[in-house]
Amino acid sequence: MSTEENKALVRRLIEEVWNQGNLAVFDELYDPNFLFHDPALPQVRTREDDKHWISETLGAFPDFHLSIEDVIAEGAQVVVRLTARGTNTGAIVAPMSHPTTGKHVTVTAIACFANDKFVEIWHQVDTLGLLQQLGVMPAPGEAR
Amino acid sequence: MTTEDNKAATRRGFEESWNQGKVDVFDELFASTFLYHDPTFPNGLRTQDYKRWVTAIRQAFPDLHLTIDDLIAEGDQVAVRLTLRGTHTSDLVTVMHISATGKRVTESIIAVIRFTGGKVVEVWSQADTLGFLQRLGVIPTPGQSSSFALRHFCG
Repeated sequence: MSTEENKALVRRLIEEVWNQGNLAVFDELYDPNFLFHDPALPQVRTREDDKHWISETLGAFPDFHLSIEDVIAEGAQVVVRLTARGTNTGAIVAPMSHPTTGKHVTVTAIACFANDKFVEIWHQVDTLGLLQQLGVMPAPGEAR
Repeated sequence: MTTEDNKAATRRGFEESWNQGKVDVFDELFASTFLYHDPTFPNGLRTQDYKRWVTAIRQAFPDLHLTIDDLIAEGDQVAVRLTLRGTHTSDLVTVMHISATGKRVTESIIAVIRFTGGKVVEVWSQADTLGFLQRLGVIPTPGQSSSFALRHFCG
Protein backbone atom coordinates (compact mmCIF):
# COMPACT_ATOMS: atom_id res chain seq x y z
CA MET A 1 0.00 0.00 0.00
CA SER A 2 1.29 3.44 -0.89
CA THR A 3 1.10 6.38 1.47
CA GLU A 4 -1.78 7.71 -0.62
CA GLU A 5 -3.65 4.39 -0.22
CA ASN A 6 -3.00 4.46 3.52
CA LYS A 7 -4.30 8.01 3.79
CA ALA A 8 -7.40 7.01 1.81
CA LEU A 9 -8.02 4.19 4.32
CA VAL A 10 -7.84 6.66 7.20
CA ARG A 11 -10.22 9.06 5.46
CA ARG A 12 -12.67 6.17 4.94
CA LEU A 13 -12.52 5.33 8.64
CA ILE A 14 -13.27 8.91 9.58
CA GLU A 15 -15.92 9.62 6.97
CA GLU A 16 -17.72 6.29 6.67
CA VAL A 17 -17.36 4.81 10.14
CA TRP A 18 -17.26 7.84 12.44
CA ASN A 19 -19.13 10.53 10.51
CA GLN A 20 -21.72 8.34 8.77
CA GLY A 21 -21.96 5.71 11.51
CA ASN A 22 -21.43 2.90 8.99
CA LEU A 23 -19.99 0.12 11.16
CA ALA A 24 -20.63 -2.46 8.43
CA VAL A 25 -17.36 -1.52 6.68
CA PHE A 26 -15.38 -1.99 9.86
CA ASP A 27 -14.11 -5.50 9.17
CA GLU A 28 -13.04 -4.39 5.69
CA LEU A 29 -10.77 -1.70 7.13
CA TYR A 30 -9.34 -3.49 10.16
CA ASP A 31 -6.99 -6.48 10.35
CA PRO A 32 -8.37 -9.26 12.61
CA ASN A 33 -5.28 -8.95 14.85
CA PHE A 34 -5.71 -5.21 15.24
CA LEU A 35 -4.56 -3.57 18.49
CA PHE A 36 -5.73 -0.25 19.90
CA HIS A 37 -3.65 1.75 22.38
CA ASP A 38 -5.00 4.63 24.44
CA PRO A 39 -4.06 4.82 28.13
CA ALA A 40 -7.37 6.61 28.84
CA LEU A 41 -9.33 3.72 27.29
CA PRO A 42 -7.76 0.55 28.73
CA GLN A 43 -10.90 -1.44 27.89
CA VAL A 44 -10.44 -0.77 24.16
CA ARG A 45 -7.83 -3.21 22.83
CA THR A 46 -9.16 -5.39 19.98
CA ARG A 47 -11.06 -4.70 16.77
CA GLU A 48 -14.30 -5.69 18.49
CA ASP A 49 -13.56 -3.38 21.44
CA ASP A 50 -12.89 -0.52 19.03
CA LYS A 51 -16.13 -1.10 17.11
CA HIS A 52 -18.03 -1.23 20.41
CA TRP A 53 -16.42 1.98 21.66
CA ILE A 54 -17.19 3.81 18.41
CA SER A 55 -20.80 2.64 18.59
CA GLU A 56 -21.08 3.84 22.23
CA THR A 57 -19.54 7.20 21.38
CA LEU A 58 -21.92 7.74 18.47
CA GLY A 59 -24.80 6.80 20.78
CA ALA A 60 -23.69 9.35 23.37
CA PHE A 61 -23.15 12.08 20.71
CA PRO A 62 -25.67 11.45 17.88
CA ASP A 63 -24.49 14.53 15.92
CA PHE A 64 -20.84 13.48 16.30
CA HIS A 65 -18.50 14.87 13.65
CA LEU A 66 -14.76 14.43 13.15
CA SER A 67 -12.87 17.07 11.15
CA ILE A 68 -9.41 16.26 9.82
CA GLU A 69 -6.95 19.05 10.67
CA ASP A 70 -3.69 17.39 9.52
CA VAL A 71 -2.67 14.14 7.83
CA ILE A 72 0.96 13.00 7.72
CA ALA A 73 1.97 9.74 6.07
CA GLU A 74 5.29 8.02 5.63
CA GLY A 75 6.05 4.38 5.03
CA ALA A 76 3.38 2.23 6.60
CA GLN A 77 2.18 4.90 9.04
CA VAL A 78 -0.33 7.71 9.03
CA VAL A 79 -0.82 10.30 11.75
CA VAL A 80 -4.00 12.32 11.80
CA ARG A 81 -4.91 15.30 13.96
CA LEU A 82 -8.65 15.63 14.42
CA THR A 83 -11.25 17.83 16.00
CA ALA A 84 -14.27 16.01 17.40
CA ARG A 85 -17.52 17.87 17.95
CA GLY A 86 -20.85 16.67 19.25
CA THR A 87 -23.78 17.23 21.58
CA ASN A 88 -24.04 14.80 24.45
CA THR A 89 -27.62 13.55 24.33
CA GLY A 90 -26.94 9.89 25.21
CA ALA A 91 -25.42 8.22 28.26
CA ILE A 92 -21.62 8.22 28.32
CA VAL A 93 -19.81 4.98 29.01
CA ALA A 94 -16.14 5.79 28.29
CA PRO A 95 -13.86 7.15 29.71
CA MET A 96 -16.19 6.91 32.71
CA SER A 97 -19.89 6.18 33.10
CA HIS A 98 -22.01 9.26 33.33
CA PRO A 99 -25.59 10.13 32.50
CA THR A 100 -26.45 12.46 29.62
CA THR A 101 -25.34 16.06 30.07
CA GLY A 102 -26.82 17.73 26.98
CA LYS A 103 -23.57 19.64 26.54
CA HIS A 104 -21.87 20.41 23.26
CA VAL A 105 -18.17 19.53 23.25
CA THR A 106 -15.14 20.08 21.06
CA VAL A 107 -11.99 18.04 21.67
CA THR A 108 -8.74 17.42 19.86
CA ALA A 109 -7.46 13.95 19.12
CA ILE A 110 -4.26 12.81 17.50
CA ALA A 111 -4.11 9.23 16.26
CA CYS A 112 -1.25 7.30 14.73
CA PHE A 113 -2.14 4.42 12.46
CA ALA A 114 0.10 1.63 11.26
CA ASN A 115 -1.46 0.27 8.08
CA ASP A 116 -2.30 -1.61 5.41
CA LYS A 117 -5.62 -2.58 6.84
CA PHE A 118 -5.38 -1.01 10.27
CA VAL A 119 -3.11 -3.19 12.36
CA GLU A 120 -2.44 -0.81 15.23
CA ILE A 121 -3.79 2.53 16.36
CA TRP A 122 -2.22 4.71 19.07
CA HIS A 123 -4.78 7.24 20.09
CA GLN A 124 -4.68 10.27 22.36
CA VAL A 125 -7.67 12.52 22.99
CA ASP A 126 -8.20 15.48 25.32
CA THR A 127 -10.21 13.40 27.79
CA LEU A 128 -9.77 15.91 30.61
CA GLY A 129 -11.11 18.71 28.40
CA LEU A 130 -14.04 16.51 27.36
CA LEU A 131 -15.03 15.83 30.97
CA GLN A 132 -14.64 19.52 31.87
CA GLN A 133 -16.84 20.58 28.95
CA LEU A 134 -19.44 18.03 29.99
CA GLY A 135 -19.38 19.43 33.53
CA VAL A 136 -18.26 16.07 34.96
CA MET A 137 -15.02 17.64 36.20
CA PRO A 138 -14.37 21.21 37.32
CA ALA A 139 -12.24 23.50 35.19
CA PRO A 140 -9.37 25.13 37.15
CA GLY A 141 -10.77 27.80 39.47
CA GLU A 142 -14.32 26.47 39.53
CA ALA A 143 -16.09 25.23 42.63
CA ARG A 144 -18.45 22.27 42.53
CA MET B 1 14.66 21.67 4.12
CA THR B 2 14.04 17.98 3.61
CA THR B 3 11.90 15.67 5.68
CA GLU B 4 15.13 14.13 6.97
CA ASP B 5 16.33 17.58 8.13
CA ASN B 6 13.01 18.13 9.91
CA LYS B 7 13.21 14.74 11.60
CA ALA B 8 16.79 15.45 12.72
CA ALA B 9 15.72 18.82 14.15
CA THR B 10 12.85 17.09 15.97
CA ARG B 11 15.12 14.47 17.49
CA ARG B 12 17.61 17.13 18.52
CA GLY B 13 14.89 19.29 20.08
CA PHE B 14 13.60 16.48 22.29
CA GLU B 15 17.00 15.05 23.17
CA GLU B 16 18.80 18.26 24.07
CA SER B 17 15.96 20.00 25.90
CA TRP B 18 13.71 17.43 27.54
CA ASN B 19 16.44 14.87 28.16
CA GLN B 20 19.49 17.09 28.76
CA GLY B 21 17.89 20.28 30.02
CA LYS B 22 19.42 22.50 27.33
CA VAL B 23 16.16 24.35 26.64
CA ASP B 24 17.98 27.19 24.84
CA VAL B 25 18.12 24.85 21.83
CA PHE B 26 14.56 25.99 21.18
CA ASP B 27 15.79 29.52 20.44
CA GLU B 28 17.69 27.99 17.55
CA LEU B 29 15.04 25.51 16.37
CA PHE B 30 11.85 27.58 16.75
CA ALA B 31 10.65 30.43 14.52
CA SER B 32 9.86 33.75 16.21
CA THR B 33 6.16 33.03 15.62
CA PHE B 34 6.34 29.64 17.36
CA LEU B 35 3.18 28.52 19.15
CA TYR B 36 2.77 25.37 21.24
CA HIS B 37 -0.79 24.01 21.27
CA ASP B 38 -1.83 21.80 24.16
CA PRO B 39 -5.26 21.62 25.80
CA THR B 40 -3.48 22.40 29.11
CA PHE B 41 -2.87 25.94 27.78
CA PRO B 42 -5.98 27.47 26.16
CA ASN B 43 -3.94 30.29 24.56
CA GLY B 44 -0.92 28.17 23.70
CA LEU B 45 2.68 28.86 24.71
CA ARG B 46 5.30 30.99 22.99
CA THR B 47 8.95 29.95 23.02
CA GLN B 48 10.05 31.45 26.35
CA ASP B 49 6.99 30.14 28.22
CA TYR B 50 7.46 26.74 26.61
CA LYS B 51 11.10 26.69 27.79
CA ARG B 52 9.95 27.58 31.32
CA TRP B 53 7.35 24.81 31.23
CA VAL B 54 9.84 22.16 30.09
CA THR B 55 12.23 23.33 32.82
CA ALA B 56 9.51 23.12 35.49
CA ILE B 57 8.61 19.57 34.50
CA ARG B 58 12.26 18.50 34.50
CA GLN B 59 12.67 20.01 37.98
CA ALA B 60 9.69 18.05 39.27
CA PHE B 61 10.85 14.82 37.58
CA PRO B 62 14.67 15.01 37.83
CA ASP B 63 15.17 11.60 36.21
CA LEU B 64 12.85 12.50 33.33
CA HIS B 65 13.46 10.73 30.02
CA LEU B 66 11.57 11.08 26.74
CA THR B 67 11.78 8.18 24.31
CA ILE B 68 10.78 8.57 20.68
CA ASP B 69 8.69 5.49 19.80
CA ASP B 70 7.72 6.50 16.25
CA LEU B 71 8.74 9.39 14.01
CA ILE B 72 7.37 10.12 10.54
CA ALA B 73 7.59 13.12 8.25
CA GLU B 74 5.81 14.32 5.13
CA GLY B 75 6.08 17.70 3.48
CA ASP B 76 6.66 20.32 6.13
CA GLN B 77 5.30 18.24 9.00
CA VAL B 78 6.66 15.72 11.44
CA ALA B 79 4.57 13.47 13.68
CA VAL B 80 6.02 11.80 16.72
CA ARG B 81 4.85 9.32 19.31
CA LEU B 82 6.69 9.62 22.62
CA THR B 83 6.86 8.00 26.03
CA LEU B 84 7.79 10.18 28.98
CA ARG B 85 9.08 8.46 32.11
CA GLY B 86 10.12 9.99 35.41
CA THR B 87 9.77 10.05 39.20
CA HIS B 88 7.88 12.91 40.85
CA THR B 89 10.40 13.76 43.55
CA SER B 90 10.00 17.57 43.58
CA ASP B 91 6.96 19.84 43.59
CA LEU B 92 5.53 20.51 40.12
CA VAL B 93 4.98 24.25 39.88
CA THR B 94 3.28 25.15 36.58
CA VAL B 95 -0.42 25.59 35.76
CA MET B 96 -1.12 24.01 39.13
CA HIS B 97 1.00 23.25 42.12
CA ILE B 98 1.38 19.52 42.71
CA SER B 99 3.47 18.61 45.75
CA ALA B 100 5.99 15.85 45.24
CA THR B 101 4.30 12.45 45.31
CA GLY B 102 7.29 10.17 44.72
CA LYS B 103 5.24 8.42 42.01
CA ARG B 104 6.86 6.97 38.91
CA VAL B 105 4.96 7.97 35.79
CA THR B 106 4.91 6.63 32.24
CA GLU B 107 3.06 8.94 29.88
CA SER B 108 2.14 8.57 26.21
CA ILE B 109 2.27 11.65 24.00
CA ILE B 110 1.51 12.16 20.31
CA ALA B 111 2.60 15.41 18.69
CA VAL B 112 2.38 17.04 15.27
CA ILE B 113 5.14 19.52 14.40
CA ARG B 114 4.99 21.98 11.51
CA PHE B 115 8.11 23.50 9.97
CA THR B 116 8.56 26.53 7.74
CA GLY B 117 11.98 27.21 6.25
CA GLY B 118 13.65 24.73 8.60
CA LYS B 119 12.23 26.27 11.79
CA VAL B 120 9.41 24.92 13.96
CA VAL B 121 6.37 27.19 13.74
CA GLU B 122 3.71 25.11 15.48
CA VAL B 123 3.41 22.05 17.69
CA TRP B 124 0.13 20.33 18.62
CA SER B 125 0.61 17.91 21.47
CA GLN B 126 -1.79 15.48 23.08
CA ALA B 127 -0.93 13.54 26.22
CA ASP B 128 -3.12 11.60 28.62
CA THR B 129 -3.35 14.56 31.01
CA LEU B 130 -6.35 13.13 32.83
CA GLY B 131 -4.48 9.89 33.49
CA PHE B 132 -1.35 11.80 34.53
CA LEU B 133 -3.29 13.78 37.16
CA GLN B 134 -5.06 10.60 38.32
CA ARG B 135 -1.76 8.75 38.66
CA LEU B 136 -0.39 11.59 40.80
CA GLY B 137 -3.54 11.46 42.91
CA VAL B 138 -4.67 14.99 42.00
CA ILE B 139 -7.88 13.77 40.34
CA PRO B 140 -9.72 10.73 41.64
CA THR B 141 -10.21 7.69 39.52
CA PRO B 142 -13.85 6.59 39.39
CA GLY B 143 -14.95 5.40 42.82
CA GLN B 144 -12.54 7.51 44.86
CA SER B 145 -13.54 10.44 47.04
CA SER B 146 -13.53 13.74 45.17
CA SER B 147 -12.96 16.26 47.98
CA PHE B 148 -9.19 15.71 48.00
CA ALA B 149 -9.00 16.33 44.28
CA LEU B 150 -11.06 19.50 44.36
CA ARG B 151 -8.65 21.12 46.82
CA HIS B 152 -5.75 20.61 44.40
CA PHE B 153 -7.64 21.13 41.20
CA CYS B 154 -9.47 24.34 42.04
CA GLY B 155 -6.31 26.34 42.73
